[in-house]
Amino acid sequence: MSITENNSLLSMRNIVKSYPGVIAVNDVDFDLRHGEIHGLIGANGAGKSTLVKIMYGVEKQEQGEILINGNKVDFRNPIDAISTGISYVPQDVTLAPTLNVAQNIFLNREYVAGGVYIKDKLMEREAKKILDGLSVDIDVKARVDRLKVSDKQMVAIANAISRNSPIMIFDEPTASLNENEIIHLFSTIVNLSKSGVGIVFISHRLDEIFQLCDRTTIMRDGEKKGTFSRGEIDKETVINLMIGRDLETKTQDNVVIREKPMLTIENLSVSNAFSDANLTVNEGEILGLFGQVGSGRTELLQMIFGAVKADEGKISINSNEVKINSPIDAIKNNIGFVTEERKTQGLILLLNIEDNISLGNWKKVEKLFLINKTLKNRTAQNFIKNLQIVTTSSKQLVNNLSGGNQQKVVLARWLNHNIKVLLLDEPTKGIDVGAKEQLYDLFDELSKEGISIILAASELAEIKRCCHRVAILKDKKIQKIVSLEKISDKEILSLAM
Amino acid sequence: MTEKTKTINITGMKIGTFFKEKGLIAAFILMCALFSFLSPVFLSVSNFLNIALQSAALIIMGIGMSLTIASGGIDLSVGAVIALTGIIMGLMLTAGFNLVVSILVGLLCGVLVGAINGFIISKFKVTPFIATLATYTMLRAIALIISDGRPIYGFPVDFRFLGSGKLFFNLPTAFFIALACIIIFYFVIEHTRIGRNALAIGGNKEAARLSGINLVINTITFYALAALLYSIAGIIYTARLNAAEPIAAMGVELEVIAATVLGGTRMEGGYTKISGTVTGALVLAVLRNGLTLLGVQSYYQQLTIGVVIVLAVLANQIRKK
Amino acid sequence: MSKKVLIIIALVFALVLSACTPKAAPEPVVEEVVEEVVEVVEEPVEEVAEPEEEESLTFWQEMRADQFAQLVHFETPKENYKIGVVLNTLVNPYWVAFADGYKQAAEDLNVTVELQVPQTEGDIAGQLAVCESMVTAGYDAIVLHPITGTNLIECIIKANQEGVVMIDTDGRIDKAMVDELGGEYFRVPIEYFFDQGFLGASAIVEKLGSEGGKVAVIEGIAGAPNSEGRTAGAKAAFEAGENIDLVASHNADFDRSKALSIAQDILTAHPDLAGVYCANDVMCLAVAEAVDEAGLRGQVLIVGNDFIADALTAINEGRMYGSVAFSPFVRGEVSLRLAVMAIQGNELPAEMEFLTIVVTPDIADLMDDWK
Repeated sequence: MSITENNSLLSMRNIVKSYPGVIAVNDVDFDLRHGEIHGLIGANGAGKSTLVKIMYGVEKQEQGEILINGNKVDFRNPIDAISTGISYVPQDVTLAPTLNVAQNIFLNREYVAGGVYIKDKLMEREAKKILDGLSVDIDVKARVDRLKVSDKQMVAIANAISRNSPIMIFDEPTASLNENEIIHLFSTIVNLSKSGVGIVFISHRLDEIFQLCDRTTIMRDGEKKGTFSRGEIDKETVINLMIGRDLETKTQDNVVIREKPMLTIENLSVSNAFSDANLTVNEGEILGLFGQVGSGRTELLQMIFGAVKADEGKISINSNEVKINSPIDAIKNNIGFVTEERKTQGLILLLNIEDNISLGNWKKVEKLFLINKTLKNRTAQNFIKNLQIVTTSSKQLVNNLSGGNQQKVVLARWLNHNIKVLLLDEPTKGIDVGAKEQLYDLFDELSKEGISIILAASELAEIKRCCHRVAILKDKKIQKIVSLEKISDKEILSLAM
Repeated sequence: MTEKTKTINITGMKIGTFFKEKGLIAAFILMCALFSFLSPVFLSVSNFLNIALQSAALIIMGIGMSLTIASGGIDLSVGAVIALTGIIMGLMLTAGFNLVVSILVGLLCGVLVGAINGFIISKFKVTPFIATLATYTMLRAIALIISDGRPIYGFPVDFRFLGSGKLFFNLPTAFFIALACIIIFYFVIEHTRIGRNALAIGGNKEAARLSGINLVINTITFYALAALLYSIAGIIYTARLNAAEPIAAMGVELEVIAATVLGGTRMEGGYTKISGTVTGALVLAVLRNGLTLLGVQSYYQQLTIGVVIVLAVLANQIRKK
Repeated sequence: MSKKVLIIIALVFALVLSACTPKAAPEPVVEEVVEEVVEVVEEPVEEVAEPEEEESLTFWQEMRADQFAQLVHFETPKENYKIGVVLNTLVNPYWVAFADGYKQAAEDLNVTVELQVPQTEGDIAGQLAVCESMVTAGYDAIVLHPITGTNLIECIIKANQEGVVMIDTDGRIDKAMVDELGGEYFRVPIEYFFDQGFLGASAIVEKLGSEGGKVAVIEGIAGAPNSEGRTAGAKAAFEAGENIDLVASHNADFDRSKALSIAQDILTAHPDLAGVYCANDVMCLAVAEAVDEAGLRGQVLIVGNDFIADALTAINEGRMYGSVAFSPFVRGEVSLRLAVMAIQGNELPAEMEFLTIVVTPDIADLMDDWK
């Protein structure tokens, strides 16, 4: 692979983009060659998503230029980028919810007869072909808002791939996919690159990056820290460049787990959602829920929290049976739930940190029925300090925080409620390595203080790092509960698949 | 369980499912049956002609409103466009222009107003509610100003033809105009990119944007088409009253929105059914007609209609689950 | 947009309008009506001078008898006819009294009457729909009180096809247009809106005398014949007056709250306002409130139209100066009788004199049983 100008498919030079209070992209160069898979990695808030948004015309750079095949281009909106031949799969799945799969795949490129009449039947057939090519089985006539997350992801990917664009951008495409789907996606991507398509690939899963990418660019705090070819760099160095310091590989402390059962559930089930759940978590214990997408992790947590009312079974706190029919009951019993989708279920994005932390817990900061601003501020400051939330001020809108810090705000809210049991659903999803570690440390702290934690995750590494015991889930049932010291990785995976 | 109970259960379930799926249409049929039972004149030809006339304008306006709501917005300028179209047509006619030209100019003004609505909404990012409310206020004022507050008479007798004049099969012209609008816009919304884009933008504006759909041009199109429909309704209004009143169609917006919502269109955008809107408009028209035939006081009529709307919306919610 | 902003803009436009489009006053009618006013105002005074007669009729009863006397060819109905009536609204006490008149007459004559109104006072298409449905419902006759001069004409055409008798007992409907369309209906003009407005405003002019002063008009629904007619009459009277300065004339749609806002704004602009004529009492009562709020009771002469019960109270309390009265109750009774006559084919009077007077404090005590 010769590094000549002529080979350059896409070239970005001296790109600068800032938002109020932060420089998101600071004088960054990036280039993409024909037939190259170019990885882009960095911690959350490093600027990768912003950079690719500029590539696609979603945002406009303040300084710097973009060249496609050597020609300067000026993207005012995605329409311009599309016409130049760029496809984009954004990080958060963006589909038209009331249209079906086929209609979404061909959105704005519909087959029309006589320039007017949309041929839906034809589109459905073509969509099926595209999905087959990706080895994915989804009903093309299904309305997209009724699909599960991984299927939605695949539809977005199918949309991009079927455009046959010379340049493709994938932003965290594997976040919601299962192993099988990932394998097929990768083979498709590799095939595309072999046919000359240039691909920008963003992921926080380093194994994927190392496996796929011909070159990798690392960003940190809006700056480019380096571009390396395959084989030139190893995991440790990458992580160093990403977070600027050496990561301590933390071994699990042998914490004395208290024997006192905090939360017990017996025969808990919801028809069609989860059957016959039995488990116990002791005081200060971290219990993992491990399973693939669709195994029922979220459903189980929802049952415990009362977000979904259980049809049968009972829940006991401190050996006393309690009735949990709604989240209000759960909160009264000191149970907290950090949901999977923090942006839509956990936070009010347009409110600031202070308000999000005190949300629903106003009594604590009220004086004479009015919300006292000083109290609210002090509460927030405490948590910002204790949880090391990175922000310019406690009045910062939560929307502007990075993923990891947003998650900390959610945790702060629950800690503010004095919970004894904390339910976590994929708490580090979409969060960079450094922030992940901080959260893991936080969980350790909480367990030391006696709080019981149930941690649902699909990455085995996370379960192993954090948990004392693990409940393995498959097909909406608990398969086995066992101490992590007493079971091998292979066994866990085989029970879960 | 005895055989008899089983049959009753199954029949009950069948009826229940029928109502669940065909909800509004079933309710409509039920209502008509009830009225024909209670009033000897409900099923008469004369009455059906009434209903056809009275619902024509509402159906046409409903279609326009459905398009704007489906695209994630709303349009409060309905009545004002109707009044203005009428006044403009009236002014042109009294100034000596021929009928066809006057009508075309009236329609053109409607389209222009709609385009302005769409432009303000998409280019300046003003919420549709506020933008169309502002347009409504200004148009009402303009109608009053250019007409000097007085109705405009002097429409040629032939103009009546566009309203209650009979076309084919002894049915009024207004009926056929409404029919044409239904057919054309069913086609547009279900099978053309205009409708498709509306559903996409209404469902998820960002998704539409990322797919390369031009939000500005499309939004302008939606509101312009909607206003065109309101103008057409304005022609029917004016023909029926044989005069252009600057105060025509006051407060009609709420009834149009009610018809649209009754028909299943979601207020949050992304979904609409033309057949639903048409049925919704018919339900409202028949309800009014039937209650008047039965001598029910107009205020109780309003109460009944309000209750019907609430029930219909609740039914839609349940069906959603 | 806030209400105040809207009104200010409306005021601005109105000012611009009134500056740009002068309305011509129909002069010959002015002179005629002036004479009528003088005649009419004199009559009640004469009657008051004979109180000793036993069982003497009240002013209202006399007026009522007069009206019935004009129905020369009236015959008691032979059957229980079914008569429909399309009114404007039942929210306004004037129309309620009108409806009561109809009901009383129906009782007296042993016929059935059915009263319907559109959703709001301005819903012209709605009124047409109501009318059409009533035609289908099969009444012997329908009495029409249209909101505008043309909005029920379609209904007349339809009624002709169905054989339902249609009658206009106001004179509001545009006869020329109906004729052009080949429609048929009975017409007995009773209301003269211009005269009402003229009378009312003249009372103000007379009271103000040669000093004159600033006056205003509160109109009803733009384009509606009653509002337009009364406004024109009032403006004519004001124009004929000495040193009378018409500073404002706005539509308040016969609505109480709109009238209140407009009055407040006018008073703010002209704290020395001397007189206001309103196209109906409902609006005038609101104006009276605005005047009281501003502490100007007694300074502003407020004259309304319709003479509803609350207006009499207001006149007695000094909050209003007067109201143009023409008993809606009796009108209802008369209208129903006219409908019966139309059904039976009795000859209808070509037109009817309907007593219209301005009730001012000096004759207010004659009006206790007025309805």
